[in-house]
Amino acid sequence: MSFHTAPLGRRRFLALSGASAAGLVIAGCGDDEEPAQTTPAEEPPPEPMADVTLDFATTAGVLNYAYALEQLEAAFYAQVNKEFEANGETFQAQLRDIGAHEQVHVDFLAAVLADDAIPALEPNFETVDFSDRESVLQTAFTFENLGVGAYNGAARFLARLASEGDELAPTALMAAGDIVAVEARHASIIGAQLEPEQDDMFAPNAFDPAMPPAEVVAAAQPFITQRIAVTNADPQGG
Amino acid sequence: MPRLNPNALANLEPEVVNQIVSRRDSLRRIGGTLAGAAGFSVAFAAASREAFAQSGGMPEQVVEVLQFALTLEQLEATFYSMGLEEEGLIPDDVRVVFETIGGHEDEHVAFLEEALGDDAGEAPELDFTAGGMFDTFESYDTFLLLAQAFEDTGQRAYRGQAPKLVEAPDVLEQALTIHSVEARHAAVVRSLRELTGWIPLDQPGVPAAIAPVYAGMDLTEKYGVDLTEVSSIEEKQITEAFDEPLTMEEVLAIAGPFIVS
Repeated sequence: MSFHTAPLGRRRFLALSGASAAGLVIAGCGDDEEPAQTTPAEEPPPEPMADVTLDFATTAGVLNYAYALEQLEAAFYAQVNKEFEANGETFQAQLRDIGAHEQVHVDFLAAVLADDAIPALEPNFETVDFSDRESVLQTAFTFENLGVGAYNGAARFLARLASEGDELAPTALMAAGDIVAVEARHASIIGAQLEPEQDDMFAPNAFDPAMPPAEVVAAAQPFITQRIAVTNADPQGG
Repeated sequence: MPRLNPNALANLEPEVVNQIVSRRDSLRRIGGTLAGAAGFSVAFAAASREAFAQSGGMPEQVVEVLQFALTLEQLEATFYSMGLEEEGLIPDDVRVVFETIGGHEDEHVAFLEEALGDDAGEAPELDFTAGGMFDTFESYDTFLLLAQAFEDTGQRAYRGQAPKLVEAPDVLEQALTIHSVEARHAAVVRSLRELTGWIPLDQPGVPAAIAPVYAGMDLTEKYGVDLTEVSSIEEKQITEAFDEPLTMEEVLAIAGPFIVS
């Protein structure tokens, strides 16, 4: 993003969200850490400016992280259920169920976060071919596994907040636990459909990942129009 | 339901097989980015135990949770290993599902034993007929029903213990990475019974002895939010969207009939 478009980005964020709600800080203030650059030094790539920054030192920030991922999933299945024809009524019904569950998660998190919620995200599914089984199922599998890894990896942030006496964190941890199990059930059913000639895609490993937020956001970013950043998101950080 | 054909790769050209295998590996990585290898977790368990040792030992509550989890995993691991040994019980085309699940349960046992070290209890003596109530290893249908019950219970059991691990975030995280795998197992076993992978309002074909596995899963109000008010999704799907925990006592009441000592 070039220098003179930066204020526009900031204005857009302010317009979308109101002010700096708890769990959100306005980014682009120069303290965002970017990954190591590999391009030549004489032409540093422009720093992308975040529209939304998720602060993992607050319960609202962690819940907004979940809210962002659930929005992405719900929007994805809404389009799947409009455009994709599954092979068989059973699987079609399962996809409708999954889409409904993601929407319930969105509605729940929106209700919990209330004024602290990040703005509605605009999905970008241009790389998905919604008429193609392979494309739809692979994307679904990616999203479900990402969800599982994200919730599993977010637990330690909520545990830390709970230890520090944050009143909402224990409840958030329990809600996240209730939700992640359902995401894992989705991943299992999609995995079993994905590669029928394979046998263990429903549960590829004895231990699921617990993914750091930065990795999850990097994987989700191509599907989201707004730029998402994370802060205080080092799993080993204090 | 997975269509399983272990020989599917046998008749393909080698380069096609390579493509499939490499794609499978990349999909597997999506599924298990970080904690994929069992070695990682077992090593982690040892490291975690050592870290606690330096600070005066693992808190009693953490030991209690891990021992509880170990008992359940031993029950599951033994169940699958006995089922797989019983000739003619499990149809060939789904055998690999139970080999996969059983293998995971073995890894969970190894992890928990390593984490507990000297605190790890002996494997319990088990009776999968629950005193003659179930013809478990004579009927595939009964075997499947119990597999479903054990997996759904196992998942709800881990979930129920999570709040007790708040002061031990590394252990909490590891427990959760098992918790979601139990949920995956439950979903695929349910699909083999031609049920949805998630838990609906009604539990058809579940006998009274198994019914407590599904107690309290019909909530439409969660943590003070009335979901029927904030969501336009129908009630059945609202209740499916959250999996509620079971307490240790509830789990032991369900597992009790299968545990002799």
